[in-house]
Amino acid sequence: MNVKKWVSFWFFLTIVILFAIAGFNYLIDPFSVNNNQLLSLKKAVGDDRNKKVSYVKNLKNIDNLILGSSRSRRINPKDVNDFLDGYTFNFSVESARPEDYYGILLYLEKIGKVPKNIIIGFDFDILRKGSPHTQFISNNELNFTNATHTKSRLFFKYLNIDTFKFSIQTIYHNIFNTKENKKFDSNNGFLFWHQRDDLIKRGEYNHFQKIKIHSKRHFKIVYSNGEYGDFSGKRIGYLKAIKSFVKKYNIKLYTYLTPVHCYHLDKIKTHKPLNNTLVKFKALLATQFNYLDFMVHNKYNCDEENFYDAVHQSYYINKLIVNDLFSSILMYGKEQRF
Amino acid sequence: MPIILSSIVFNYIIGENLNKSSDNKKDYQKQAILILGITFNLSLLAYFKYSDFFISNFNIVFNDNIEPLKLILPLAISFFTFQQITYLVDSYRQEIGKQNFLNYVLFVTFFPQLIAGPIVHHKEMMPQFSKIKNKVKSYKNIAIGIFLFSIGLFKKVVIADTFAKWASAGFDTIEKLNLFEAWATSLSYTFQLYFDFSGYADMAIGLALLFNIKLPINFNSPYKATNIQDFWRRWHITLSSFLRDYVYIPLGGNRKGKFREYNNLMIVFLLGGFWHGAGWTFVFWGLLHGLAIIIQKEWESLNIKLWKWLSWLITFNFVNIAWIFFRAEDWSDAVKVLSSMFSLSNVVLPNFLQSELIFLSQYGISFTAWLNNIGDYTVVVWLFFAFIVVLLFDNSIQKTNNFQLNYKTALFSSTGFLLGILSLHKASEFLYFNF
Repeated sequence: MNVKKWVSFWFFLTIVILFAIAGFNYLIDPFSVNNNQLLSLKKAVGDDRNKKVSYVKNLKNIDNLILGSSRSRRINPKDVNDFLDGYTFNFSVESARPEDYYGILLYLEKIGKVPKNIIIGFDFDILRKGSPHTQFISNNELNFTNATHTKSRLFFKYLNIDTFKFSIQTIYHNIFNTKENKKFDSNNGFLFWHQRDDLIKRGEYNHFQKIKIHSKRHFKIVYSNGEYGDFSGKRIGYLKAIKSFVKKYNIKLYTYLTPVHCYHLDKIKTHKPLNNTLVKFKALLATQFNYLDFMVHNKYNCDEENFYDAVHQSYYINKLIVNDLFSSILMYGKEQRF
Repeated sequence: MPIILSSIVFNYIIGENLNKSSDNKKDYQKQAILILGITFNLSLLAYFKYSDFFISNFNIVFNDNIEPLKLILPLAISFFTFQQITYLVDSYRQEIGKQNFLNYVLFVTFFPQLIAGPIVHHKEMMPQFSKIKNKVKSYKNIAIGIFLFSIGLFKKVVIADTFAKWASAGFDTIEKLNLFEAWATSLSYTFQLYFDFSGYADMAIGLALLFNIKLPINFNSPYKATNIQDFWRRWHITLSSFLRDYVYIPLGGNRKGKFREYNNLMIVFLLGGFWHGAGWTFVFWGLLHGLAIIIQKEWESLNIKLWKWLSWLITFNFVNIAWIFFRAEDWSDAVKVLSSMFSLSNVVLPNFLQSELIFLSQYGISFTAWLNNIGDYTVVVWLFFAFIVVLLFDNSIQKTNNFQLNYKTALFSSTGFLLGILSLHKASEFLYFNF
């Protein structure tokens, strides 16, 4: 083989395989990025938004709606029903931002299922600038912003070994008709199973390690090493729009700031600029909502057993939050009530 | 950008001044110009890289409370500072003729090696930039460049970043590590560092070859070394060469007796440690290596030969243990990892051995999820293969020396490249970007 042929063969081989993988991933679309439905496959990777929109479509009505990110997915609608009558649905979805909350409200308005009560769990990072979640962009029912996927995001989604792995898994599930691990209760959107639950049962889950590692990663990625940046004007706008929406339909709104483990909170508080941002964030949120602040240093937040990682609280904590939101006997955020 | 540009312009002017001043300037004038140049470079480095270190130490010593500057370290500053110092020193020695400014800019900013080395010497780079032959496309260099780049990308993105996960997990949960976890943590970091840094060097050399530029090699299977001196001839070779030529030899090297030789060696290693990072753990890491070299020299004078495998074992373990100080955030973290590595009070064996080895419980050995703090059993498999790769296989540079043009090599490098590209979404930054 001469050298010119070697170089040409290398380029040919590499480009062909790259395109083949990208094409295969596009076709299978395991993360439902383009929603092409070309092969009508059951996807190996769950799309919270897609699933929950489908659940909501089939519901008769929703009286009480829970909104929030993955941190609020463990709020059991049954616990809410200890305080509120009617049907409760948890529409908390992974990495939710204000556009997600507002998007689902607009959708419910469209299909005539506006709830009577809304509970929203706000995360500290919801006002960061950035594009909406991939699943939000791909979901026609939610995406009222008409945002589209950026080229770089698509590039990394399709030219990605994890996507390839899940594409293969999707094919496998469809050929052998294996059942997907059900995580959400299709009746009320409650997250009742997660892989880590099995590890916890087997005594193989190290809460302390997860909190520490996750906190470090969260600090680096979500807070860009402490640089939260300016608040997103658009996202503040969506929060205001939610407030108007609630007013328009005379909905009762219960809001709270989600807790983080105190190891993580201390990290934020000792970082001067980030702590300033937190103070500003709380003040800004207070101008819009009468929220309960659970992002505080107390015995519940410092117990590592109450957290799966730096920011995801256990079912037990969520139960206490629900109690505090509706009961006059505050158990969790007693001293921090606004 | 303004920092590197102003540094280039300043050093070029000083260099030119030193070059043309041979006839009409006196020695002390030349020396003054050289000192000015070196002081400028070192001050720049000291300001951006070491000011917070000095401030925190000042605060400790004088019980003061001066706020750290928290400056962002300009990318590549440690590397371009050293390269330009060599240029100034050689200009002073009249070893360089008049240089073209553009070639000089290219020498300092040549992008493949700018960020994390190899530290290049103007003598090996400048002539290459002006060679007409190097401006002609060479398919041979392109092929070897692609081959090396693919290996480097694979080493960095697939291997180093996988070990990074376990090393970070271990160093983040230092308080709870058991004996095996502590060893897995330190070994993971040892391999992460090697594959990360040598992966970068391979990519740099490969990329440069696409432009017909040959960069010096920076690694030569360092973990095969059978003594510390051997290790430093194989690890970050260009840094060792710089310190030898511009610090050790000017200090007198080994020409002024044993005491001065050891003294000079210690200075070189302490400087080397300090160059890597503004922290006492880095200095201590340098001190350990300096001591190891001195002990090795003393041992050699006794003329006692060790088995080769034993020499390797001692060297590798020393290097592995010393890396803990290099990686740990502070002194106490390093000590915690070390005590977990050598304490028999925290031996934990995997659950599946419990039925067979239950009698060990009476000696305080427990059975649980074995490597729970690090990750899972895959770390053992990866460590096993990493040892095989670094000890039994030729390194990437040796592979290019025996490079054959066939479908096998094309497929091999294409696979490495593809796996690297497809894993880029989880890649972390190069460790040596911080140095």
